[in-house]
Amino acid sequence: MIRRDMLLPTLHRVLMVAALVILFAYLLIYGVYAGNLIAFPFDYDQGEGFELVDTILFSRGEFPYKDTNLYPFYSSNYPPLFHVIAAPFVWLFGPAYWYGRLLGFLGTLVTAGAIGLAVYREGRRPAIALLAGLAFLASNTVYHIGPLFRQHMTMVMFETLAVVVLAHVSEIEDDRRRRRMMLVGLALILAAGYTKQLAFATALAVFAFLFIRNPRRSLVWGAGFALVGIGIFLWMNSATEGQWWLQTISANVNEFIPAQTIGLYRLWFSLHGFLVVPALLMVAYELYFSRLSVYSLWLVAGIAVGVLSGKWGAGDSYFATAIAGLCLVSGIFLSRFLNGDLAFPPTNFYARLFVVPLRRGTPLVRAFSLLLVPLLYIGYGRAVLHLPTEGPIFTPAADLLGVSANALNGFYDSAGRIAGGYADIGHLTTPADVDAGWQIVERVREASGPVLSEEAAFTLLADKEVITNPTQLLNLANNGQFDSSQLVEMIENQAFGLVVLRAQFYPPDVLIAIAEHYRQEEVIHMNGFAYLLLRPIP
Amino acid sequence: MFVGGLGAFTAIIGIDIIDVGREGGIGPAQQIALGLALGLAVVGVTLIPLGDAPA
Repeated sequence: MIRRDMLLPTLHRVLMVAALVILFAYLLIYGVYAGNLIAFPFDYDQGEGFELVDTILFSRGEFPYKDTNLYPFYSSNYPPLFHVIAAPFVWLFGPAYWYGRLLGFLGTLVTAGAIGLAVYREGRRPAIALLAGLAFLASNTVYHIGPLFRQHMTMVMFETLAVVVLAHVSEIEDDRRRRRMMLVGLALILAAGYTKQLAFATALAVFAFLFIRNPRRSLVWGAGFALVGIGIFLWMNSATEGQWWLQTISANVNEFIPAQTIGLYRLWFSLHGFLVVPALLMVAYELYFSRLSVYSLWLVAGIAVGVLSGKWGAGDSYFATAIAGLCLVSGIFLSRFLNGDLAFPPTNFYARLFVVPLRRGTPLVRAFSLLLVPLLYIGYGRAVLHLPTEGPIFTPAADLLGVSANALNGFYDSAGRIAGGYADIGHLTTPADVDAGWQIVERVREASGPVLSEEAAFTLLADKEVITNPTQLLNLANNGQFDSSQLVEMIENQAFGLVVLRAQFYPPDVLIAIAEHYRQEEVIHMNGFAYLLLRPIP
Repeated sequence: MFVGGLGAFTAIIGIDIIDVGREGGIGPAQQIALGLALGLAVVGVTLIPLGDAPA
């Protein structure tokens, strides 16, 4: 028999265990997905192969920011750090996807660990800290893009580490230690920025925080930070004869689709709302009753930068920083809510207005929090539901949960098809997909001369030169910065023995030239996508 | 925050007043920006009763 006064704490423990079990289950699913992708030798998400090409170029000591008007019409629009980190793997293992995907996956684990550490440091609640870290890994968005050969989640890792390092830097009294921590934190922000441009929002949040706490110090460090950041920028621009600016800045000014932004905000809230609300309550608490932390400012900046998700080519990944922030801030709020240490100064205008009259209800709120906190994580677990629906374990699990595949290749995803985007990912690859990929590689090998492939894996694995980066050509063409004449001339001369198309993201005039001089002779399906194989019209 | 939000709101509206040659009125991106600026101004107003407590 449970004593009456022990009923609530016992119920709290049972619900906390249930929440942990649910979020651990997502960690297992994430591990299965990551393992599956790491073993898959071809492009899984559109454009991954070009990140591998960037890595190969860096491993040779070359910049991937090249003149796209000239053969092989290749360039990258991403900053270099992720590819530089992966470059030693090219020296050791040659061109392959697994190490880039492994780095991305490990980066998300580090981020989750940093979130857990920060939550524990602020709230001293190990179970909540664990739940906060797991909640990050359970997010549909993090699941989708974590184990890809892409730089986005490595940027989020650097951002998270930076704010965790800098959170209490102003309170360090020892000058040498404070300077060391500032140096580490700002170096991490610089690393995030040179991993992906989107980290500018985190840099703004951090400097706003430092300015609030100590304006003079923030200006001095800000000047140093700007000097180093701009110095690297100018050096790269000079070393690439201006291509760095053209390819990574000018070409990234894409069409803005407001409906895509609104759709992605709605999706983000519908998936993460159970934790968004407590996170925003923490921001409001700090704003009105306490002092703003770097975490709250970072969360607000992360949410604000989601506006850019409406750019052509952007997607749910633009909310990854906001997701890390909301897991962290909600974890702190819920820990402190359980601890009952959210203080409301009696002299505060709003405390006098709203909190003081309700003081008598405090014991009731404390009791309520014991149930509410684990229930929020359980609710979150239900909102982000995603799992493969096929296989010896997943079929019965899907049946038990009453869900069936609603995405490609036997996969249930509560995110559905990403609003306004085109990233149909999350499912597991199959041996049939691998066979299909090798079939395409074989066709590329058999083709005479160079091959124009929309994905790099096929040409890389066939030991042929990678020609073009289609989406980058489209970015440049949309901004009037791509002269397609040389590429179109090669297509008109049927210089390519084979053309492999998937999403058809080439600029329109290139696609028209292909349609006029090549004909589709074969379709091979891989990962649920149709790969069109076109040969010269005789 | 109040002044910043109000300033941003005025500037966004000002684009249409100054650049009279533009067509299509206030577009969706402008609507989003106006909403954000107005939100910032509203939060700024609510902070006024707190006096000069450090942020």
